[in-house]
Amino acid sequence: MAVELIEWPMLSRRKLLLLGAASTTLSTLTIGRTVVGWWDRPPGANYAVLDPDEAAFLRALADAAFPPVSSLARGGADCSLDHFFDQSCSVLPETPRTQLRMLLHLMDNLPRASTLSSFTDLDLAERQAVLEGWLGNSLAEIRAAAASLVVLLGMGFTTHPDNSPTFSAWYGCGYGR
Amino acid sequence: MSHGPHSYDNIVPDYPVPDPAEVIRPEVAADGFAEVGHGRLLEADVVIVGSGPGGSAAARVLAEAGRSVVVVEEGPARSRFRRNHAHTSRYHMQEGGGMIARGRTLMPIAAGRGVGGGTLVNSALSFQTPDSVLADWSERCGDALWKPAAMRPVFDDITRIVGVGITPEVVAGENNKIVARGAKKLGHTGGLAPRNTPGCSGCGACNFGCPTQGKASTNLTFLPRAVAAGALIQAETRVHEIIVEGGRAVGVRGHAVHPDTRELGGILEVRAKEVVVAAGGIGTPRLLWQAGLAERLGPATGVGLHVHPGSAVFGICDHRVEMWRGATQGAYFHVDSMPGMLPHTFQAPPEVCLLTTGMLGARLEEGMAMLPYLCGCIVMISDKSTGTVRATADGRADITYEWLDSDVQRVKDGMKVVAEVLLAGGARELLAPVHGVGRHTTAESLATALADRSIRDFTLYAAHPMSTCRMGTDPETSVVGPDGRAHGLDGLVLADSSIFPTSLGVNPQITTMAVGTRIAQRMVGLA
Repeated sequence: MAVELIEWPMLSRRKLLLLGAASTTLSTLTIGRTVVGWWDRPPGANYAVLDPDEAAFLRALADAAFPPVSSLARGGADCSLDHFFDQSCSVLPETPRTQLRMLLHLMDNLPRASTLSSFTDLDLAERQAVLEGWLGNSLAEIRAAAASLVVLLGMGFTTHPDNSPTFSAWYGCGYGR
Repeated sequence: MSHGPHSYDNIVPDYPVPDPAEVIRPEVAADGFAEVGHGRLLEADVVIVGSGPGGSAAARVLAEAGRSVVVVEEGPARSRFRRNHAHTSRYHMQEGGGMIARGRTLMPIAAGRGVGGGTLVNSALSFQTPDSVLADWSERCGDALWKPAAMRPVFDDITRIVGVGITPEVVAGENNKIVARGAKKLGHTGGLAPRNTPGCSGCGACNFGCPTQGKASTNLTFLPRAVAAGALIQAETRVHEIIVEGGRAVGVRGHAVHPDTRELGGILEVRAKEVVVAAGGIGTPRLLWQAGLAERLGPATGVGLHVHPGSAVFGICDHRVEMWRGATQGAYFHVDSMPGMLPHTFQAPPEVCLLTTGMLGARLEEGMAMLPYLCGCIVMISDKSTGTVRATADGRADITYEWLDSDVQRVKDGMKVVAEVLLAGGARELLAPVHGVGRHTTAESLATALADRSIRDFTLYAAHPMSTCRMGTDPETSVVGPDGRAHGLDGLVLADSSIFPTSLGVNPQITTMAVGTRIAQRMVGLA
């Protein structure tokens, strides 16, 4: 027997058309802003690749995906996951590295279509709701983009020296060592 | 018993219990970035590009037959194992673990690198090639040396060298036992799986590189034998050119690449009488395209990609499973009415489990508590769907893969069977990493929820790229003949999973070793 799933209310055709038109406009603005706003920005201080906006987005995403929990010493916001991501990026070839950085800008600006605010500027509850929406989005590309960023941050989160003892206790050979 | 195109009758023969002391040798020594310096020129009878299961098996045969051999490998000269996915991706996965196939959906494709290639980071599953598949290959190639009976001595030889044995109960772990128990209860063929891990301690770390040298990867088996017979391994060097002179392949060129910084070093050039490319189902066609040889080698270069795609089902148990304990992938089963489908257990790191079960953000606390109670099993299919591999302008793999509806349906059917097995083995609830499907308590309910899902809704995984430079007799549909020699270029031989004429249907390392061995035997007149 299936466990009950939430049934979202159906949209009327008129509302759907209005929403479509609004979304198209906002999406165009969002993409336009992202592309126009993009240039090969120099890395911020103490970063090999990331600029300050990208690092701030990653910190905000890490905080939303991995809030403090009782079984782990640190939440995602306190694990320097922006630096972990920066390190991971620094060994990528230039093309995927640039694509990944553009993805950060795109994802940060996606919420503007509905909230007029970047992801980074939302409060924690809003960011968690947005992240849940991305991971459950009907567009596979949005789900995949969000999932790939979260998994990469998750690698740093679970292997952070202060968190890895929890996983080391589970994993015979010592997780994260 | 089914005797269809992928009958699994023979994939797990009886094995003696292997003795690790006889199988595992000290890790092979390889030259690296520093040895290339400002430039290095080597000469040999044979240069082999790639030190994975195909390349190392070939190197051992060729070197022991008295040929001078240079093996060129892109990955690190020494294994850099840490139980950390980011670290593993950086050092031991091709393209940093970031290869993705485009098509109706995006699908990550994993392939290992380093001295030992994919055998460093695979789960050690060691199924023999289905006889039905070999018989089909032999017929397609019009060549009796690929027939099951002719290949039997090759399998006997390589499974002894890499110490294949059935996973012992003592290192199996509860996740594997759930699947073995469930499959038995439902009357499916299967159980604990054959693996090349004679010294396994059951720590579940195969995918990060074995920390105890209990897994008989080729850097501990074939390659030490090759080096003892005079072979040289040049690692940390990415080949980008196959040198052609007088209408013949006469060597390779590549750049040394620093394993930590990716800084480019000097040029390595290896001159040889024969060039063997064994860079894997992605790496081989990528190199042939990058080297500008695709047109010369014909329209089959880089087409026909199979990957054994699949998805997974998680079970939630009332007892602690700790799916990370025990043999990484230590149990399997198959169903006679579903040929070409070979489910087996898997482990995933915590962040992946948390993501695929939706336990992030506000649900992280709940997810952390649930992790120890998860079990899981992969559905892997022998695919009819195909894809392509080319090279991008900067030399990376450009991969496409187009799902056939029939394969999508087989994945769904397989997930239902896996769900039945997990429930029979002790799970109380099911969780599929498929968008919009949610949790279920019966396999029927899960199957109903999967029925209208598009392939774009599935979390997919593939780690067995193959068939991109197929073996055959027609240059229009194959790249090499049954002896591995390229139709379109003298002196070029391929010896890895890229030459499989069809999808294989079992985890490919043993078959790839057999292919490398057989091709090398033919090069030196031993077969």
